[in-house]
Amino acid sequence: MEFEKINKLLEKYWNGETSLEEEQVLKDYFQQEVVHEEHQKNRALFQFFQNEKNHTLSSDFEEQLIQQLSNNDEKIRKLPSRKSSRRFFLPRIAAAIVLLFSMWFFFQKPSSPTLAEIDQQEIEEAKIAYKQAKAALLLLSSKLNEGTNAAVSGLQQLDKATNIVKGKRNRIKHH
Amino acid sequence: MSLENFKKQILPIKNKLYRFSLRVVGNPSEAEDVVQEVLIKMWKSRDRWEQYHNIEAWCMRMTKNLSIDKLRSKHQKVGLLPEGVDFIAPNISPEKSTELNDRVLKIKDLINQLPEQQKMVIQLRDIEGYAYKEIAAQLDISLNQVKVNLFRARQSIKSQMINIDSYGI
Repeated sequence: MEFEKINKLLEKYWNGETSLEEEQVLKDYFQQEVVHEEHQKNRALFQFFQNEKNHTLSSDFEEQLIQQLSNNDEKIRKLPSRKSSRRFFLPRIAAAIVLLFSMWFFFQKPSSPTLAEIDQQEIEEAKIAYKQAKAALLLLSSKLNEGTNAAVSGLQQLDKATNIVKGKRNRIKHH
Repeated sequence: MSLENFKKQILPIKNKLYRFSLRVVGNPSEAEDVVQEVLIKMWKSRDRWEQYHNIEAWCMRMTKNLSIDKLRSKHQKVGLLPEGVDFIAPNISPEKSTELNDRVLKIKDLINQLPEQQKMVIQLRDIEGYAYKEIAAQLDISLNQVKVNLFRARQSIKSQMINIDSYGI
């Protein structure tokens, strides 16, 4: 008789002795419209188990997740590309050039004291340009990975200094 | 390992992971966060899937650990599910269903008040229908511990249910 069968199963259930199949029998029984009076008190428990299975993630969860995974992958793929490597090394190369130029200027022999036609103002301008280049170099060395702008302005300053000094030297040579 | 594999092998269990996390943390959006974190981690370690013969257990274990961490970090002792997420049994008359619904809510409360491990075993056995061996792997405990926890949980539910009835709901 079903009533007895259910009683026995319930007994086993409370003792943690039921198999998965037996538990399914109990679950099915309590889903019925009519349940024996004696068993009514257990109905809420099995209804609870049934209800809880209906909790699910929001419908767009999967879509959003896939999107995140694709974004993640792109970031990972970008790192070893050649284009990035070039951008990475360019500021370092520029810094090296700037350093070489500034060292070259620094170690130039002073011009002959008899060259009276040297324009003092131009020398001062060259010095300022050199100082600015040096500052740019320091800035660059502290910000190596941030693009090439610092290197470029440093180079521009140095170009200016170079040209001024070159011009003077040419004048010196011709005298 | 392709995205297709991921979709086939891992994504199908997402709701089981969600419900399990929800049982521990008690908050739907936090449970969603946990599941998302687990799935992203699974994707990132996809070259290791072959090492595990039970990926589902691996996912559940990760879900368990992350859920507990989340719970502990919020200094919560018991996570209570929000009210109002109930489904009335379709085969029952309206008068009886209200009474039943009240009882179901009380059952929900008492189950959520169970000690953490007992709560988790009830979730995995009575709601998700996993075998003892699977539960042991998922929770990283012994088979014996699964049985003991299940026994204690059910006994506790049984005795507390008597209280529900005797207060005449």
